[in-house]
Amino acid sequence: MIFLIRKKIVPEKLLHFVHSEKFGGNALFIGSVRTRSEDPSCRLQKVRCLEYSAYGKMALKKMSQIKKAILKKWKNRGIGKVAMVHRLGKLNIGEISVAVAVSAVHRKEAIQACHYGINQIKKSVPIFKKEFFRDGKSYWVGC
Amino acid sequence: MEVIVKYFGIFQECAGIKEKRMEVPDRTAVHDLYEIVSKFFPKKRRLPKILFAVNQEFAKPNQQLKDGDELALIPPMSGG
Repeated sequence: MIFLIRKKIVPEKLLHFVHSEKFGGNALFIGSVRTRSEDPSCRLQKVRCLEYSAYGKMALKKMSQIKKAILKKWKNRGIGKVAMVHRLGKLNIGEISVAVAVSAVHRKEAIQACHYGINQIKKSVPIFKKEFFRDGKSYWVGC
Repeated sequence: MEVIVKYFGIFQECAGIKEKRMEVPDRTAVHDLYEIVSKFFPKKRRLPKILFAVNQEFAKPNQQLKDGDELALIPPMSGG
């Protein structure tokens, strides 16, 4: 289950996808829009909203590669299923921007693989975030 | 040969376009093409660190392009 979506993310759908009677550990990471963020001068600013865009074709390809890497890395350690969804478009404070769910026989591997998954999404998936602050200014994150 | 250059994030905003089809000489490398397209970015704007992707895989600046390749100019990634 790998998606880039413009509608609201429903985390229960990811959990439902990864959950099965074979796997006793189910880890879910949810990233959401917070009220404050640092501007390029490292000053904490009040956030109005965020806008995510992506190189869709490559982002889906990279997310599939992350999923494959997880299944390979934890292959002999009871890995189950992986679900990753990232939101695109304009998001308000509190809305979910990303969700990763992983199941495994035991909790340790489920949590480790979920942690690995979100880290890899941040590192290697071509998704771009623009922050809009309450003072009217806006910045591309990392630029 | 013909290649497609795709712009994302801040590069799309600077160039004002999403993609551009370009006729380039054979054996053009990624960095050669970037030198051409970066001329169209506003001079005053400080551009961020760039990564390249050819056909949806990250590519080194010296990678040679082939006819029909899709070169993407990728600004800092900030998913999550």
